[in-house]
Amino acid sequence: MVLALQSDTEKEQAFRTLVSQYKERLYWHIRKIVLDHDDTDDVLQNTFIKVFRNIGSFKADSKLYTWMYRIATNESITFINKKAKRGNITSGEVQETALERLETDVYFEGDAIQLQLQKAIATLPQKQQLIFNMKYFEEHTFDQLSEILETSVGGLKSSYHIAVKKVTAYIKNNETF
Amino acid sequence: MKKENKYKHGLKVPENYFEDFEDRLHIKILEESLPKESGFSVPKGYMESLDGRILEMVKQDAEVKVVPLYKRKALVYIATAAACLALVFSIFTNPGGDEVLLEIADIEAYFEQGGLDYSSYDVAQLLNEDELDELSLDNSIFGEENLEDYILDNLDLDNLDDTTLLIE
Repeated sequence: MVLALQSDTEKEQAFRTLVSQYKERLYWHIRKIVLDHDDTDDVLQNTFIKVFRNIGSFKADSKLYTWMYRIATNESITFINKKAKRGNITSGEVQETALERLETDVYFEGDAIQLQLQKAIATLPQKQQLIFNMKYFEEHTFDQLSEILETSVGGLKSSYHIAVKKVTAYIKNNETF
Repeated sequence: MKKENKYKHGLKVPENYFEDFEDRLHIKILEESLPKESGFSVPKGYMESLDGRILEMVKQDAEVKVVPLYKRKALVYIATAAACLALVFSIFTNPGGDEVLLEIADIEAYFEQGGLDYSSYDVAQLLNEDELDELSLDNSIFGEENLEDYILDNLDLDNLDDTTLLIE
């Protein structure tokens, strides 16, 4: 796949295949971070543009999907930071606003407990949010996460456990159902 | 006293399997209490139309990168040529009557001293409105997002002053 992407003749076809294989996974990965569908659409497009632009310098010493997830994560965080700079607020405040909008968002069909879960996740530190989302919803293995996030498996397990405990405690303490 | 097993099955467990077991079980139990789905949804047909849109964006992006440099150079050449003409005409239509004969050496000296180092802004001032209209610019590079990105990328908060803001 990488060779095809780096060849002038096969690049376009290989890229089409790549998009088709990864669009959904990358979409949901980004969506969990930026929450809003339209914002996700923007970030997803930027991600694939970056992938296409930089495929020439991709070194096959890491895996292609690891690299793409990293780009998607970075683009999501950059998006939030830019929004913060523009609005002269912190990136935490950007996420708070997005969270507040979630309840009335047409593309959030979650029930009360699913909304609580999103609020619970938002209370976690940035990296723990990532680890939780990727392990719990996206079902990566710890080994895969270790490659993508460049953190030891032990560290990830620890973080994930803490995250799950915090999240379940939050939901329990805020039970309105 | 531990009974020694007569038969060995040879099956092994991963490192720390039993030590970590309780923790892992605890986490599994907690996870059971959480919703399985996130609750996020997408517009109808979104995923299906995504491939086409992404490929289109990627193609456009590849094109936009090539064009602006060319058009900018053309603008500079045209503007410089117009400036030279303006210079020549202003010399030869001198109402004062005295003919100003320019030595070639004088012209060369002028070049060397950077007399023709006009910025596109300087030169644009020498053109009248009609001439400016004729210079077509690719305005798509001035989309709001590109401008914001440009400003944010080049924003140097430590050296910000009024002149920087005006020029940018």
